[in-house]
Amino acid sequence: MSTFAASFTAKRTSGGSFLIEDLLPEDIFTPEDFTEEQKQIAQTTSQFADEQVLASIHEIEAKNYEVTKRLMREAGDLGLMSVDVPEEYGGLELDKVTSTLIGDRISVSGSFSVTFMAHVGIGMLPVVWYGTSQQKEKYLPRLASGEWIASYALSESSAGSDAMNIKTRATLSPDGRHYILNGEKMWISNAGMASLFTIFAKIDGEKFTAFLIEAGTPGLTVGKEEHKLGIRGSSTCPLILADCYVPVENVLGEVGKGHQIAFNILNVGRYKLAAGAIGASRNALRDAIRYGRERIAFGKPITSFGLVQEKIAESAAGIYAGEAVVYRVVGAIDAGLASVDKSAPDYSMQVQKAIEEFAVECSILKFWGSEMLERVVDHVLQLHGGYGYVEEYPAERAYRDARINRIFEGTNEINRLITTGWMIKRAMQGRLALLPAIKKVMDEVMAGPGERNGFHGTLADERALLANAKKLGLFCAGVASQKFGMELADQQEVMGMLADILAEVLVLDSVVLRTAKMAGRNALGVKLAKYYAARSMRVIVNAAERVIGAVAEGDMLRTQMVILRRLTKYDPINTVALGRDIASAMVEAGRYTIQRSVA
Amino acid sequence: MILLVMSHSNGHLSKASYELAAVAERLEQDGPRTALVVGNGAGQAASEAARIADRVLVADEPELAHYDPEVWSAVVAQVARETHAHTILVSATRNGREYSPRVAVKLDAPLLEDVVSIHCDGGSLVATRYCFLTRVTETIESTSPVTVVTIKPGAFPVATAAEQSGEQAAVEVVVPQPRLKVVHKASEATDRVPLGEADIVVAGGRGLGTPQGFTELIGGLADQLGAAVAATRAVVDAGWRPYAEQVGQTGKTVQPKAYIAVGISGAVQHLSGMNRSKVIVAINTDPEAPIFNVADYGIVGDVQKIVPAMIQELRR
Amino acid sequence: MRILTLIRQVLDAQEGVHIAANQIDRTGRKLVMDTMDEYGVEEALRLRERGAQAEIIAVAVGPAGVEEALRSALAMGADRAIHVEADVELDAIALSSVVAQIARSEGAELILCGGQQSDWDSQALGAATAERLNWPQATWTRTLELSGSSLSGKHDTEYGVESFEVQLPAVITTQQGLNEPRYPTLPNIMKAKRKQIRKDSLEQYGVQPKLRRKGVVVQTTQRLRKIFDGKDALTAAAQLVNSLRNEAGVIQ
Repeated sequence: MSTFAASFTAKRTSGGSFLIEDLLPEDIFTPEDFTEEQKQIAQTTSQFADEQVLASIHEIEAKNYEVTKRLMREAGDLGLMSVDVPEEYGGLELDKVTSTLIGDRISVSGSFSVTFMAHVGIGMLPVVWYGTSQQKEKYLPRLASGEWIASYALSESSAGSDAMNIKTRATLSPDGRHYILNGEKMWISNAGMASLFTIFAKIDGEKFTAFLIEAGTPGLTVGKEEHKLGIRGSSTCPLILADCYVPVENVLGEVGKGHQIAFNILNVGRYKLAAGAIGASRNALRDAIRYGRERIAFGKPITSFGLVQEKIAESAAGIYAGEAVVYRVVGAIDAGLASVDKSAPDYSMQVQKAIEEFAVECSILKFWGSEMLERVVDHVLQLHGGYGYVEEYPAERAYRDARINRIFEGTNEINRLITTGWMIKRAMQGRLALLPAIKKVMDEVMAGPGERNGFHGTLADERALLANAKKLGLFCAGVASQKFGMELADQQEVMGMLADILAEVLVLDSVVLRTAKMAGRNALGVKLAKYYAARSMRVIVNAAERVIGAVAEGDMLRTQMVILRRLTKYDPINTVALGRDIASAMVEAGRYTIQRSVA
Repeated sequence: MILLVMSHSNGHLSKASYELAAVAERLEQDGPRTALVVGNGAGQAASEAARIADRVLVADEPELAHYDPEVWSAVVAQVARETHAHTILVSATRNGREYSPRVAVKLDAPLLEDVVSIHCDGGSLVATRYCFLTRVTETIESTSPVTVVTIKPGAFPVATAAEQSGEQAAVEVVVPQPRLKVVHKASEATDRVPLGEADIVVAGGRGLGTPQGFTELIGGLADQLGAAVAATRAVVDAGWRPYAEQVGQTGKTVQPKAYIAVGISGAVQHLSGMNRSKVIVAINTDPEAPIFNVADYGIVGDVQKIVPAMIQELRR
Repeated sequence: MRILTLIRQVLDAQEGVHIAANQIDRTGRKLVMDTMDEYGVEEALRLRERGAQAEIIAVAVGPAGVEEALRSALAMGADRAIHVEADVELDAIALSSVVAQIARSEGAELILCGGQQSDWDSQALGAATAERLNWPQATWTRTLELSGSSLSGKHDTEYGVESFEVQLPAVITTQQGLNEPRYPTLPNIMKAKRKQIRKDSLEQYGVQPKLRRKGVVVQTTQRLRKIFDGKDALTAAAQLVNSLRNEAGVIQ
């Protein structure tokens, strides 16, 4: 049996368990656990991104696809696109943390990272997972080298969020050798550069199936480029299929089972998007600090001013939290994969199952990560003042590029609904012991005030906050279920509020565990954790109040509010002082870092 | 005894040699200060050397007509040994920095490289030098009986030539066969003030736009000021200017009274070659260019308009 | 033939320089292989790719962290590495003794190292090593070719560019522009895991440094930063010339 084992493997856990379980620091994967090879791979990726991709940014943004394609080939030469490809097709077959790390470090340009990630993720993975050996042999080497670029075509003008509603039809030809496809696809990334498309259609209007179609196939036309707000260097075109003849050998996976491909691919896309958001945030913060150190106002660099430092600190804390949660989740996926035999015939299915186990976490990463990035690019633009509004500086591009992240890979609204919906579904299926946990908390809080904070040590307060946040999450889920029963899924606003609480619990849990794992060796990490926790609690409390307001009234409301207050009793910390310390470490380093001695 | 290794070109001692003499004076050590002239047909240089040292040793051979690191280091080490020199001073020119380590190894002595200050402290030599691309000054000490020191050109004042000359003596040296065969020299002569000796330097970067623009504007301003011309690495790599004019980490380091940087953004590698200048002036269209952070005076504007305006102003 | 490439690990160019405990602070800072040395590793790899039958050995003297830089060299394509573990810093003359001993014991024929160190700004290592081995040297090399046992190329001298020829064994020092160092590819990073890094201790080499560093100070020159608006070129030029003449006194 051959598996790639990182030198540290996280504890095997199940999806959604973060709400009901308390792990130990040594149970999770953190950025501090990167192996030597992972660090070197990160370094190669960052250097390539900074020195090659950024150097061509204007060409990329001007939709000069020859330049983008050249960069893709160079990325292929470095092996950056071979990480998820099996060795027998020239791939490196490394772990998901490595693949995620590449997505993180490559993200210095929204346009290029969308091209890259769409190619490596939704472009290539369907072939890796569902391709026949002929299909893999034919396409994977050329895709991994960057010689060919892949594109994934599912969405249509009236089928975005409701992907199952696609209208593109496929009919078997009389001689049984081809499927004839007719329809239109919309918002297709990489379309203007791609050589291979994975296109979804319904055979006879019913059987949802994926097809591999090469560019240039008669009947397949790539429409005009969309002129977008952001990621302008990423190709986005409609596709028109008019009597497009596709050989039956080019069906990907099984007839009628295409939705499996679609859903499984989404999970990967979601955690990769979060990784890209962290990379983009780091990059934007670097630009902001560089600018802020040089920009003088009132005789001082603007990085000396409190309201600027606050933005830097908030951004840094978001990045720290993002790193903690993304690598915790992907590390958990790798832990699930560690015991899978690569030579097993259903290896691909097992991989997908291991990822699907964490579908809730993947959805959280997607909406939380994209919104974290949004806050960062907003701060960064503001920090640049007028220069943030003009094209000579990268701030406005980062701001425009970030916006799409809340829309694609499933809108943030959809992902919030999935987060809450799947937690409940798993509870119903008995996969997640959510109901007993809710009952336990309800009993506990109804019984009266609990014990005081029993935590000691550096992050005692934050660990107490976290414990209460979990209880609060369970409590809110409980009262919302009590109120709405099976109709809860239709109460989208409440579902959304619950999702926000779940997200903050997962992120805060990861932040606390990551920081504890560093065992007091990193004072700056502790500050970032405290700073983030303060914000996290405000989000959780706000969402919980809104849930209670939506589900209760009169005495019930008052009782629930008493419980809320009991569970969120804490003294505010001095975020001003913390923020200044954090900001000065970042400013001194010139970029986001956690490696600084802080007084 | 302090041995000063002279450098000369076109028959005359370089300014750097006079700086070595000033260093020797400062070191307040007993014993004569001996200058060493190495070359072929270096009589004039030897006479000049005699006026800044107590005595001059002259190694004048046809085989010494052309510099080679193995040859120079062998000659200097031999003379240092025979004269029992305890301090060997060499100018930290490109050549000096290249052959002096060989001298140090031959004499089993430490090397104080590219120093900007030096004094005796009891029995040891204490020197300061720049490092980390000139952002840091370090103080180092040698307690060794023999030390080789390279002196940063421009860091010390020049000694005045004395009225009387010291004695001159020819010295027999064993000249090894150089193993680095020079197949072709592309040397770029200039009739301007040499970069290392100028009080004012006018430097240009890619912001000048074209080689002709560079010549016209930078050359024009330099002529008006009697200054030397310098260029960034980018300009030299683009072939607009000769390598001899390159200032920066991989070019020359200069410390003139005034360094006027035109159309230069101020990358740290370039800054390390000039940020010890007494006064730095920057002219650039980009208000955010890092060069403005290290400038004493500057103008943000179009160099194509500003430089001619300066030339005009200077003529008045 | 064996080629030695000397590696040093220095602060990344983006890192600021700070003093801690009378030393330049390296703790928690980003440390990388000196770019000058990267050119050396890259050149060795290119010589091999152009036909030389060579084993490329990366050598570094330094504390434990230096291993990372050696791994980078291995990931670029060097065959094996030697790490002389040392917690003290050695000046170039002392360091050259270690390098020369290794070169002799490995039977190396070519040594590539950086023309100038990015931290201590020393240019002495290559020349000192060449002297200890009694080999010729070519410094500030711009291009390099190997034909049999004869090296040829171009290098920068005080006055311009020279074309040279020299027989192996020799020491070549590098500079920016010699080549573009490759990024370690992912397959090579994974292969490098299995390459050998031999650990030696500094004591084995019997080095006696003769220099002592007494202190370091970060220089901050306070510049006046009097910047004039150049929209009206004539006025700005007049202001500047006036300042240089009457305030700074640097021109007539």
